[in-house]
Amino acid sequence: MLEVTCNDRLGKKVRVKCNPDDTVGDLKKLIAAQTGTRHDKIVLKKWYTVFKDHIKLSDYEIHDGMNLELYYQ
Amino acid sequence: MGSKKHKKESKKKKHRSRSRSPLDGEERERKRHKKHKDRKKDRSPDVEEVPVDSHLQKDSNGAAHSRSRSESRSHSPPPEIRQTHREISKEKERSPEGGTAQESLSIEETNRLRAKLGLKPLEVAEKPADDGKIKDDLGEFYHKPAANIAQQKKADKLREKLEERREKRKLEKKLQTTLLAEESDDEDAIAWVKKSRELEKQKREAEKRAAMLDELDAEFGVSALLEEEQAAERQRRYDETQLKGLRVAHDIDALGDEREVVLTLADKPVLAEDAEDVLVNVNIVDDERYRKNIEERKKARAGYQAYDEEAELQASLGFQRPVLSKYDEEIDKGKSDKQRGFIIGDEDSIEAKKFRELMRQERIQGGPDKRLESLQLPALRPATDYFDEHEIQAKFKKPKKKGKMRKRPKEEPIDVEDYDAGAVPLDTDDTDVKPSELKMEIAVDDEEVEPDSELQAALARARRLRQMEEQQLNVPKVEEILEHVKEVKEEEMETESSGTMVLDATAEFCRTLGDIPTYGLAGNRDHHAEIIDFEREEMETEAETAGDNAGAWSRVDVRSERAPDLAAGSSVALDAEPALGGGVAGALQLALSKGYLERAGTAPAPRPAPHQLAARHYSIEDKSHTGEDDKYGRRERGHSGPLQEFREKSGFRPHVKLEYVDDDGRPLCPKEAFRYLSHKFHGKGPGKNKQEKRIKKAVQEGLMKKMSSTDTPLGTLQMLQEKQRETQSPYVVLSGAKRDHK
Repeated sequence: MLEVTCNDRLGKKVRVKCNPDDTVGDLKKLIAAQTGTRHDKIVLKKWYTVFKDHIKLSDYEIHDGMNLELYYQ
Repeated sequence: MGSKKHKKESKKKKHRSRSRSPLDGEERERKRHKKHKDRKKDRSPDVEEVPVDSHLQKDSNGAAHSRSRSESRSHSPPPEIRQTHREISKEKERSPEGGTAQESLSIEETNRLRAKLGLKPLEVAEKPADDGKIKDDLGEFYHKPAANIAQQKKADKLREKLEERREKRKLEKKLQTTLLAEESDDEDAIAWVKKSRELEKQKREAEKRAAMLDELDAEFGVSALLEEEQAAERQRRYDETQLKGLRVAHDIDALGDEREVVLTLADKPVLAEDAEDVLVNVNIVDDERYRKNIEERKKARAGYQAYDEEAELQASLGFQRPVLSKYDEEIDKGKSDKQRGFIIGDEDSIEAKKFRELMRQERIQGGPDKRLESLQLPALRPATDYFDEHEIQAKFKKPKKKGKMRKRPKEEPIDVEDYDAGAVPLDTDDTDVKPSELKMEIAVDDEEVEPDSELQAALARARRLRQMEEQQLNVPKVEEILEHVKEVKEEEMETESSGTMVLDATAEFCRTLGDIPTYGLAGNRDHHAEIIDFEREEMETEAETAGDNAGAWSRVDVRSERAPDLAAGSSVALDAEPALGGGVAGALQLALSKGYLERAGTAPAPRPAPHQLAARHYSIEDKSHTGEDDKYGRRERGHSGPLQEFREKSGFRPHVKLEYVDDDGRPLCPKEAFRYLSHKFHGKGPGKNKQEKRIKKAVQEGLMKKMSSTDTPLGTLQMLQEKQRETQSPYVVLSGAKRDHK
């Protein structure tokens, strides 16, 4: 289990618990459930890397306590 | 709005035409979102609030995406989902800073949520942590946990303690003495008694049996017989045949012939497998060891010897030349020991050995065709101040004086001292001798020649004999005295008689004299007039050949007519001084000959130097080289040049002055000279400006030099003086008016 922090720097900052073998899409759904945003509107970024939905967190080397940038489309 | 719809339609068409993949719908959806986004952003900074689970549900349904989207927006979210949302917001953990909200669900809640989303629950238990190994970030490799130093120390201490204990116990065990009383238990004592009794009984029985057997033997008389036999056996056993095959470890020579030597069996290692019995004598062994030690010490002192005499000897005898033989003994220690010595009773081998030794000696002595020579030179020893007997005998043998010593032998027309040897024709000589030359015999002072005339005579005789031998080969040709043939012949003779060479005092003197540089410059040596054409030709050929076989010694041809010529040359070179007493003519002649007076008319051509007098290896260059040699010798001694300074040049300090001049002949200072040479060397002159500058400078310098030191450049002083002369006054009136001036 790992916990990532997602911040949109507009007033929303959520900490989400997830498994390392979850996909980014799953994470988005979890974030959506916590924030109330639609999951398909969420874009997760780290610097200029836009995380794609079908790839696992472990493959992106997302670890416990990491900060992800939360954007909307 | 209508226009927008129109746009959408067109987009749809485009997509349809592009692809019909299942993703198509979704993509379209996204595009539409983009369209809407701008508008929304205008309205509010926050994102549109959507009920959390409504779309999730739809997602799980997975169908009719686009339709549901529009519905969800238009309709309010279902009540139960709203509730969950509220629950979540209730649990919101407000961060200390006001604006940003940080929400975190507990694990159970997350699991519940995940269950709703159709995901597997969170893996709470961290398994790898419990077995002490920690996986790295990628989960691929196990890290070895760091060693706990405190624990290690503790373990070490414990181990040490245990070790100590163990040692102590061991020592105690060793020191423990079992007391007899303690040892013997009741049972043991009984057993021991039993055992001893048994033994005693057996002993007794054996004795009894032996006695019985003895009795039996005595009865039949066997014992006496046996005893006899044993004695005989013992007698028989020990004689020389018994010793046959035993090896004695010494050479047969080491055992003296008449002396009695006591041999004992040599010690041998107990575990040796092939140890045979070897007989040795202790004293001889000691001797051998002593000798070997000395030998070894000698060898060690000698070190490596390229020309080892022993090795040479071995090689010459046909044995293989040993390589680093000093290690041979180390390599096979036992081998030599085993082969040494002789075997008792093995007469053949001893004989063979003797014979081999004999042969070897013979060979060393030198066979019929072999002679060995040592490379060692006789030892150097300091020269003694006194003669030994041999020397005395050799030195002081007085030569017997002949009675007719002072008399010059009549049968000896040739003398070494003068050059008339060639002038006097030999019997077999084919050269025609001119009478004029025959007359030119120089009177030789008899007294001067006298003391060693005998020796000279002997030498001359020997030489003549030798020449005669050579000439006899040419006898058949002697009769032909045709001119052209003769010339050819002479050339032949020259080549043939190249073996003979005559040295004498004059030649030696002339050689050391060298080429006289001023010779003939004065014009007084007009010797060329005397030389006939033929001779000149010959001289030319001689010069040619001289170039070929340039040796230190000029060869003197005895038989040919060159000899008188040479004599004539020498006589000219060492001409008698004209007598001054003969009046004015004599004085004039002297002056002429000395070169004080120049002969009127054409300047005499410098006659070619009398090359037969010239030393072949002496030239002007040589002279210059000696100076250089001197210098170099001083500088780099030991590399080249003379090892010893020239005595006669001890005061020689060459004054070297390097002067350089440029193209115009101006002397250059060292700096300029360097520049000049540098330009020359690199083939690149100075620039135009520089050149001009230099020229200008030179011109200035020239002007400066030309300028008179007593007057101004405009000649004011001179004018002043002129004016004064004009006016006849020691002064000049300087008036201010210009017109009146002067």
